[in-house]
Amino acid sequence: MSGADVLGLLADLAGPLALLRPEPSTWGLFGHTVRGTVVVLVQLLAWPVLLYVLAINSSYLVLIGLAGADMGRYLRRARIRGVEDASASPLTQSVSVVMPAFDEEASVVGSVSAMLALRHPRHEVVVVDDGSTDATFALLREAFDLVEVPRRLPADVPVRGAVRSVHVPRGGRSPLVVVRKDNGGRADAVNAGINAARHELVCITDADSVLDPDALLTVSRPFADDPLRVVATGGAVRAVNGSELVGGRVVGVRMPSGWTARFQVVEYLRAFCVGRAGWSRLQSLVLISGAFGMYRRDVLVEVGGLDATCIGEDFELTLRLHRYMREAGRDHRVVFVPEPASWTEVPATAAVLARQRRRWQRGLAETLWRHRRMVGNPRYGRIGLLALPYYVLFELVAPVVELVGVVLTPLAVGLGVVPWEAALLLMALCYGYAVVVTVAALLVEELSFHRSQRWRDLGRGLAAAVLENFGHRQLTALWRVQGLWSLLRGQRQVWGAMDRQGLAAAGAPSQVRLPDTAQLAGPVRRRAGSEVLR
Amino acid sequence: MSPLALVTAGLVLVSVLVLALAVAIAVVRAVRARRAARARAVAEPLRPLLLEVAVGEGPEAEDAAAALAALDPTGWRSVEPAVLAVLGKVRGDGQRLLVELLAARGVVAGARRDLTARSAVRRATAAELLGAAGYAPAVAELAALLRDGDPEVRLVAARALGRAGAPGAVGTGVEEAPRAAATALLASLAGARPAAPPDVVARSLLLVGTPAAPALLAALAAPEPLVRLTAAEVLGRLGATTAAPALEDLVLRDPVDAVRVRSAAALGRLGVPSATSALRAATTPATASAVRRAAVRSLGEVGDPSSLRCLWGLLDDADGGVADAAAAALLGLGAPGVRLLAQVSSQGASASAAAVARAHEVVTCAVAAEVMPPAGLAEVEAVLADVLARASRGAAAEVAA
Repeated sequence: MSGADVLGLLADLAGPLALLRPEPSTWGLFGHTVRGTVVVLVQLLAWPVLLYVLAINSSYLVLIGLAGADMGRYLRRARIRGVEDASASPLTQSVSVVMPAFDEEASVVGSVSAMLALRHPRHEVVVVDDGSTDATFALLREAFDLVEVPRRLPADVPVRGAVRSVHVPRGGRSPLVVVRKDNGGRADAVNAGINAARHELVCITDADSVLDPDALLTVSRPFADDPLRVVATGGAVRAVNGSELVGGRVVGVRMPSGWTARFQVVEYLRAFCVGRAGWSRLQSLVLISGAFGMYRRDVLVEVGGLDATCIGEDFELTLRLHRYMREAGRDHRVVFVPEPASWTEVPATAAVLARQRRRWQRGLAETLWRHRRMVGNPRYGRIGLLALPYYVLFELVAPVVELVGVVLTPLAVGLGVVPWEAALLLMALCYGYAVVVTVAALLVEELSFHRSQRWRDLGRGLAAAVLENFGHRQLTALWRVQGLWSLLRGQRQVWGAMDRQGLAAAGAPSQVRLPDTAQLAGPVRRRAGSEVLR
Repeated sequence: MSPLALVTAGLVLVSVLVLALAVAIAVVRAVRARRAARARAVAEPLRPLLLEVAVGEGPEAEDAAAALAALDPTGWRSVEPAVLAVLGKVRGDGQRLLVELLAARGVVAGARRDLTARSAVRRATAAELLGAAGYAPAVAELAALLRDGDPEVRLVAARALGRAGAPGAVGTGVEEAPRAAATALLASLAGARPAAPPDVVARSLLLVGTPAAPALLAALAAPEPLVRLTAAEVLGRLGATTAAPALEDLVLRDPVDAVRVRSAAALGRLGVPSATSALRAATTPATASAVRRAAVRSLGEVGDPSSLRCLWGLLDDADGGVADAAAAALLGLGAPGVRLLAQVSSQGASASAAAVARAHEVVTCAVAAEVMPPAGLAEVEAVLADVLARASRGAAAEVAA
């Protein structure tokens, strides 16, 4: 956006300032000289990009305002929320926490212990070992004294990887079930977990997620308050890197040491402000994070669980829930609980982050394409008319526009189309706008939950809000465009596979494998499924 | 204004905004830290007094309460949040003293006034306070709040009624409070849309407890299914055995399946053997699946030997859920049920393949997970020994032949 900002404003200024005075000959030489091409592109893209930039940044500010209002509303009701009552009530809806695990030997025992210790009158933990190749299961068996039981799981939602065995603690000591299955990816593991879940609500989380002690109570509260309509809830997810953990709980929120992680801390704060609380306020929440979401089990079964063929399975699921309920004419709500409930480890290196962002963007595009019928369709209410067009316009397209700006601006300066002073000035203005958005989100956090207490970390947060504009944002745009590109490249293969799917519909399970999924050699490893920041 | 000047102005504006926001964050943080420190400094010396009141024993508690009641406004402001925080967590004399303290400081009167405030949050907060205090005189006002226009206020009122109408409530009118609260709570579920979430109402009715039983019994005949359903649920959890005949009637004849399900579950909780025949009748294939499952589960909970045969017959039911529930119920019946399961599992009793598989699964799961009680384990061993003996006798006969 910011690079594109520059581009737009440059061209806008160009005429009156006489900064941009293309030679008459270059006009006719479109494509003949690089300079000519740049000039034409600048002239062509100026106004649309300018409007785009204004719209996107203003929309962020509006969403942050809405999020602030939503959080204020939430906090004013802190004393009347009745979490204490819910924790003691025998009528509180029971929850199955489904936790897929693949090669998690480093943390699995701690995570499971922490999840068993969550405050809730009736919850069970279902761990799905998705064909781990390390000691994940052996450690679990030892720690919880597991014994294999010949329990058959119902086939309520389809599962691709065969379930090998079911294990429970000896003597029924803790409400834990461990399902071992052949590797099939995160979504498939979650589906097996849904089948094994015996409670009314299913909480989908990750093996490396750290949940707050009251997470289940706060996030299940909307189901109790509005039992007929609420079908899914999501909690806020924060970056845990650098924070102090005791017994699987976050006791002190700290800034991580590396800048890559710091940028993401700030990004998560902004994203959950802009993307979730704001949209929830508009009753148009279309994305529940894979790291922490809660669903009614019966509705999950009705829609067929997660789609294991989709990279953005969490976004896809939320969208499918909306679509299903709307098409069935059932009044429903998907609610975001702004209370920080879940903490996740974010990639600390650029390489891992790049993979994650490519996957997210690809998942976003894939899901939007799958549900393109909903976009702009009044039948789907605010989701169809407001949220999805917004996602297409400002989430799907944004990195492309930004990258174009990032590439064209230096090019225009280098070729002497635009003087560097003007470019620098405009760039500063545009990135400044982005910093305003981020710092506004930090202010909302400070006014609402203020989980971070140290002054040093406030300084680091503000610094990250500024510094992320030097490199991190541009790289993120590049990775996201790469994700889109991989999908476009893969599209042909998917179509080919879909032909085979039609032929094989009666017999073998479909072989649709998307290139990005297949690229991961050997077992499929995907955590936190898909997510879109913002 | 030239475009360059415009850009420069924009840049200045953006910089000022960023700075202003950053300063705002710092100010918010500093003010909060300072306030918290000041409140701590004032409240810390008062904390022992509050603890003394909450314990509620002896003249020391009375003295501490008097000391808190005589605090200057600043001191009271700093200690009030702590008082409100322990409210609802103490019972008996401690609760009485705390409520008297709050009444003396005018907090109770303020809350009662706030029940009609314009702000929904204030109404709800007031209701929450009166509920946490277990303040019986406010039951009528809280009941009126169940008709509030704001759903959140109604929810909080329903929750508060449970505490203000509970047996441990304080204040005048404690005798009539439970019945009034129960009636109002049940009435809130009548109508096209319930005034408060049914699970909140049910929880409050449970808190009111046995005094609510007459109102609940009457509610079993209410025209609204939600009222019947909630009343059945609560009666079951209260252990109101007098409700069993009416619940049996609902299991067999209610037009709404959800009501039949809850009634069946309630009968299971009550554990009255006389309910067995009604529950058995509800397991016939003509009945809705959910009702059958609930009835089967309850048969296991009631544990009457007369249901053995019925449950055995359901082990290979076409409805897998019913069959699973039957196997689990047999396991729950203890030794006789386990013996039957072990016999079916070892094909000693004439049974279909599906029944054998199901019985085998439930027995082996229980044995493997070591959740089988010793008596059940003895039964399994006896059956297995019997099977082995028969097999060896058969082999010997074969050899002899």
